[in-house]
Amino acid sequence: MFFNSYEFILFFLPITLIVFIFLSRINTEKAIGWLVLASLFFYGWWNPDYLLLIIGSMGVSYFIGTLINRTLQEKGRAKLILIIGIVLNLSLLGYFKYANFFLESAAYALSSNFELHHIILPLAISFFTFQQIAFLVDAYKGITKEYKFLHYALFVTFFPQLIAGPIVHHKEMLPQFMDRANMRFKLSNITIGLAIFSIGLFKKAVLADGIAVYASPVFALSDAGEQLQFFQAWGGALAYTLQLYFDFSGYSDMAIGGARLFGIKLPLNFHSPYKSLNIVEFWRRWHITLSRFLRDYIYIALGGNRKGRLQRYINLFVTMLLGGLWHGAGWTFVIWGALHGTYLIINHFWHFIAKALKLTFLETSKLWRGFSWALTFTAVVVGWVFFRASHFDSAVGMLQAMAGLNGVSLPYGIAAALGGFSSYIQIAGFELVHGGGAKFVFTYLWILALLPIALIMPNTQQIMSRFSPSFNDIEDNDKTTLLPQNPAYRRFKFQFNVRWAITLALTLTFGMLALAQVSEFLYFQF
Amino acid sequence: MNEKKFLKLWLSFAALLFCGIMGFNYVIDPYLLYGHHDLKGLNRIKPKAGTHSLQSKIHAAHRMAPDVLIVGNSRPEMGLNPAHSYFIDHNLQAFNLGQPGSGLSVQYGYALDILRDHDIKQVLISVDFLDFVTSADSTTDPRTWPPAPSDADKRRKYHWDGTENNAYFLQSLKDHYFPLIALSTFWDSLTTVANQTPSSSNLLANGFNPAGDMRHATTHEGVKALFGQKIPQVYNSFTMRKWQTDTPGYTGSPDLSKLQFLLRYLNNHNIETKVFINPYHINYLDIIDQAGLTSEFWLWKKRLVTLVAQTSTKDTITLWDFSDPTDYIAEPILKAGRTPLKWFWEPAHYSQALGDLMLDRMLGKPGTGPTDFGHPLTMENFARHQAAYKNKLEAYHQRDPEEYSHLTAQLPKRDKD
Repeated sequence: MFFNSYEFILFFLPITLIVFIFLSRINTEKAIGWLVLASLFFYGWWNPDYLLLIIGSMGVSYFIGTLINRTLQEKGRAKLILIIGIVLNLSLLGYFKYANFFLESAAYALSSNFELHHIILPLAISFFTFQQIAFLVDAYKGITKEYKFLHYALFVTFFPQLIAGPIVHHKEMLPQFMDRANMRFKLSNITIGLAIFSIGLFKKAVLADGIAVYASPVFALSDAGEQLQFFQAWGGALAYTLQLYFDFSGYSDMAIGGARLFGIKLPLNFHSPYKSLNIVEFWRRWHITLSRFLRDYIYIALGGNRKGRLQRYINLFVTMLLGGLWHGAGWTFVIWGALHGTYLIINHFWHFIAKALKLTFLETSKLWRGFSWALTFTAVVVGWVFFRASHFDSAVGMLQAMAGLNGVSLPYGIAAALGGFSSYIQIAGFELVHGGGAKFVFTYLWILALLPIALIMPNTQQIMSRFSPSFNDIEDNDKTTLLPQNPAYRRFKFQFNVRWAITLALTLTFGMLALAQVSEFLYFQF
Repeated sequence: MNEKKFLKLWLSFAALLFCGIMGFNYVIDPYLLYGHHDLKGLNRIKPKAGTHSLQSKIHAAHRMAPDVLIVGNSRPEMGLNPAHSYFIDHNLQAFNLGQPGSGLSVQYGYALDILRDHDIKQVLISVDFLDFVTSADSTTDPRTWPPAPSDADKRRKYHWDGTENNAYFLQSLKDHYFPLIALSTFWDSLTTVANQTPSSSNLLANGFNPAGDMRHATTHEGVKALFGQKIPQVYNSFTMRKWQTDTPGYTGSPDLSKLQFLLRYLNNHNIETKVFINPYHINYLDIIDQAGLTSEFWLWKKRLVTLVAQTSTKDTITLWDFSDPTDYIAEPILKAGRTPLKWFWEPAHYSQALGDLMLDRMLGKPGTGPTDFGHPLTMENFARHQAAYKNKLEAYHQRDPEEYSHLTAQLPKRDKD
């Protein structure tokens, strides 16, 4: 079931909430049981067959977690059980997500025709697998303990975060589920939850889906081997950059808002990532809970920065490579991960050099900050080209066009609208082509409208900050943020007034109206 | 303001706004779905209706309950005006059911639906070579019936065999009421209000597309630019596969069988029918020739002539051919500038002016309309027209060698098979 669907908004969410409020007055355990049932129904709506998979996966991980808890005194045995638990979880993920990829790659390398039947990727498997691995590791470290399967099941399946995160920790969620105060009905939870959900719905259904129609056709052309032109390729790449941000951050807002209706605060997943002045900062702000998982359970497990600079860089690269592979079983995702691993190494190396050469004063220079932002943003856009393209050649084709190697052209219609100026354009070497004028104009109008929202406007967290919208809070780092704590943001703070009633009415209405169009979350099958 | 009051105010605003937008969409009716009275300067011109004609036209045709039905694709939709003087003089309500970009299953399926529900007296069927060609690697038996189902079938009240379609009611509800609560409809309603100018795209209540956007594009970018844009597309359509008229191993094709089915129905119900081969600009005919498909083009005509002769047992069906090279279809484009051509918008789409002549020729008394444009194509005169075709084409190349060179320069070099 999609968050942006009539069945979710008009039926599932209200019914689940009303029954939950009723049951929570009687008995917390019954309310938790109801939420688990509702969450499984939510998951099974997509494909009931995979309900067995998620229930089985939970059962095994819960059992292993319990065993780890019981054997904590015997470190060696506990470690062995932990390894078995991790291997089982990864095997499940490996089979459903990567079996085809590895076999196809092997067949290609060996010039063989071997084919495996197509395995359908179960919804949310990457998310609930990571969440359960984190639980097992935390259990081994003695951070978490869980004795009731029902509680554990809610931790894994809680529907607002089940499908596409945020990836939550057991220690963040269980105390909230067990706190009777959270279970009690509070009007503020409904108001704040609905407000955040409405903003998320607007971001996803209106903004992300609105600009998507200018991104997908360009990538489709590139996938088909068409030679793109400069503005066409940049238009497609920038449109996708914005689509992805509003899609996923909109989804995360809906998850946070949806959970808040039940008195639960989920961790923040996005914090205006495109405002970052370097790539390290970008990863502190983009898909925060995944970055946190990769850092805590891969990067640090590999040794982190404890074994010298070179090993640190290797660890970074490997972590990002695996992060890329987590996003999808394909070489373009691996390249995307490798690219970001390389970016991070360069970024860390630059910090080292800048410190050694005492160049840190540059951080206050407006010109340098502008350059840093442009470099970071361009690097991210280049990365997204690999992330979106369906194969390597397509991504390279896009990047060639973006580099101007296929020439620069403008539609005749645009040139005609420019009047006398169009002759200068032709002298400058621009080629004039037939058709595409309206698409060109609308692509760049959408980009010009959405880019400032991502770069200048406060995000949902900042707008709702008075009401502690999420489990954690992230402060802007002045040195690495485009517009840190802009004083103008105060004017955007959410309050109970007529202006906000109208604003939210607009976001909710337009979001609901946008449901009548076909749409899908980009992160749904990762 | 306290929280409770805020929540009430917010949700009330949202409900009001939601209902307001629904009402606005209904009044503006950007896709011609409701058929209520339109206001000049507000919503009479429907710039966005063309993008939803698959959804709206069949319902609009049912609403109108016409006497005459025009069937085909975008060519007759832009060319044949249901408000032509012939229809008015004879007190006939005509509806243009032309479906841009649709295959024959949709064109003929929709037509059969209207025919089954209304007392249709006359049907004009435009036929296009490209709609009938079949791939050289196709193996589908032309006698396979019914045609493969498509999404558009849900909008039909009846299946091919005349039985009722149970999915129709729900689809009709969806078609009519979903757009009221869609954001895209709201944008399109705003676009409709903001674009009440003759240069906008439009679709009239009788299904006719007056091609205002084509006129605007021509005056904006010029005739040569429009032809230049379309010529590679047309060439690509003809060369993207190895096309032929007959399915390998058979006489005829699945698409010809669909036409046969429709013609049999019309013949059995004594409905006067004109099947006509669209006029194409000479550039279009030259592209067919350059693609090596002239012989297949004539084989297709042969199949049409045979089909009409076999089906029309009561002499109610006539085949007309408007595709012969004549001065009407050979207007030069190189010096046309930004004034639209008299007869064509671009190589594939003819203007209403030419459509009027076609209606005069097909429907008027004998001798009405220009005698050198269009003729009935029969078993008797087929060989004569075929024999003269190449020479006529060549005569125009010699008359306007620059025009011909300009066209061939735009086409990619093709390996001879």
